[in-house]
Amino acid sequence: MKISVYRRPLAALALLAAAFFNPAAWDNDRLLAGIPLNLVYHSGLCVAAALAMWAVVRKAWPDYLDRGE
Amino acid sequence: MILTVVAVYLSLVTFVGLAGRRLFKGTGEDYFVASRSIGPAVLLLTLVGTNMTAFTMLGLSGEAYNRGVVVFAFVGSSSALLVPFIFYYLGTRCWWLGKRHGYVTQVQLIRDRYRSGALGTLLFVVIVLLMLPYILIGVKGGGDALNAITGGADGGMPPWVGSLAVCVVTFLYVTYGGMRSTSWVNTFQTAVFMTVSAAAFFAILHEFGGVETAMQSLRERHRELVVFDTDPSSRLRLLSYFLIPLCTGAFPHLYAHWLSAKESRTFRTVLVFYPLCFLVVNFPIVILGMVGRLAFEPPLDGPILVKLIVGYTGGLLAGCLAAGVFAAIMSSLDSQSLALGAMFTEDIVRYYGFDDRLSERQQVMFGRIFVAVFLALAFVCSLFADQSIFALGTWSLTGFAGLLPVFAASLYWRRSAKAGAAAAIGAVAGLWAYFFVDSLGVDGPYSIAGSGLLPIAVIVPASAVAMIVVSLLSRPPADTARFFPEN
Repeated sequence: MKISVYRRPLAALALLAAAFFNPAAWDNDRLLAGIPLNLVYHSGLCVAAALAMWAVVRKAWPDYLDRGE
Repeated sequence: MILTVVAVYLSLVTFVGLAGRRLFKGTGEDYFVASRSIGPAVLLLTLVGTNMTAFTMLGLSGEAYNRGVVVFAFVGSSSALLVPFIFYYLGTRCWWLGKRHGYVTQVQLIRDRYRSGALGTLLFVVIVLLMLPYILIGVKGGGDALNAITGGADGGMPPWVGSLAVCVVTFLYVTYGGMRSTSWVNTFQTAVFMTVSAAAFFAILHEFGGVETAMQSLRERHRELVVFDTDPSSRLRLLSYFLIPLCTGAFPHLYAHWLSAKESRTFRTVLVFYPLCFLVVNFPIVILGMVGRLAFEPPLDGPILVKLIVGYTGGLLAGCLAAGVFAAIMSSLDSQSLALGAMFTEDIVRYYGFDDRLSERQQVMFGRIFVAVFLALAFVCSLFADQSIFALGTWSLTGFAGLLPVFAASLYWRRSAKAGAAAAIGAVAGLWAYFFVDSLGVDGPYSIAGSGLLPIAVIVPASAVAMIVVSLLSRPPADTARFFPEN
């Protein structure tokens, strides 16, 4: 197992955390399809987290976990 | 109608739980971790359900009513972002070690990893002390919720009835079927919870003319609810709340669920779909809490979600709401009581009393006895606890988050040492006690010196620093190779 296998997900986590604290829309009261922009943004982050984990399990799954099963 | 729906729901839960008994093998490993046989769909929904509490349905909508959309970031998106990574780094590694060495509890892992019985016992004490108020909150929350839904002070069911119902039903299926029954019931309850919150969402918003009309009215009348506060203290509070999901890495009940996974690939489904499940669970609850502001002005005399459902829908949905609250409570309470039963059986009775020799049948017997004792104790305490017990919830999560560096280091840092782990646990206990005492004289939400920064933002880094510095200054245990995968 290469150490880098565990570093790639950390990069994804750092990006998601940066997006979480992005203040660009904090004071924006626009509605998108009736939903407050900030709620749409943070709902989008949940979807982004799911996509990130999809990439993690495909590209950064540690080999040792599947050995010996 | 409400009580009929609740009775039907509790009967269904008991039936599903008792059905799990049919596959019971009679061993300690089967009772505590279902012989490591749980598949991806059940593991996903049971983990989502275990992370839901009474707060998810009643507390979250109440917070959204007061604070607005920022609550979704506090509780929803922060968990959706962090928890899958915790499952990836800690969950899969704990599963691998548990299967390899036969662990059932976290204390077994720490004792073995650092070759120290005393360190394990110290961790055991801290975990139990942090867990007990968390269990009590669930039991009391069940009683209070049923009371509020059936009329509150105006002839509602006495709170002890709901608390007793929660304890008895949980006792039946946890003692009877162990982890397998718990996982099956949690899967069912999570599905019920999602269905009820979606039904409440559409039924109530229909009464307000749809989500677009309701949100436009809300923006005109309460703009502060659809934006985030931008003052410095609010930013620090957001940072603090972002750290709270770290507690999931140290929860004993989640550890037990991780170990119940059938194979490593079981985690893949969980990792991908967990954020989406959290979105589905939290989104409608937050919207409903905010919409409540259009109908009811503060101060409220009961949970906003209950007032909305009673005021804008019929008795059937109110009964379903009660079932949803019970689902949220019992899906945590069962796992917590089972995990504590496993810890007392394996880490105290088996380790100290029987010199590590306890038959499979005796393990199951002790596990059942301890589950019964915890639930009975929680019920009795709920009769005397007042509303201030709910404030302990955040403190409990803060303590667990502080323990995360101990587990992370034991799993990934070969150089970590027993003294470092002890120092980290000591730092968590000391700082937790200091901040808790400091909070006693404060009215309203506590933060450090009123800055908006919560104690968790100090306790977690302090725990990590203590773990690293003291480990580097002390001798690590020899022969740690068996705890790490080969290159």
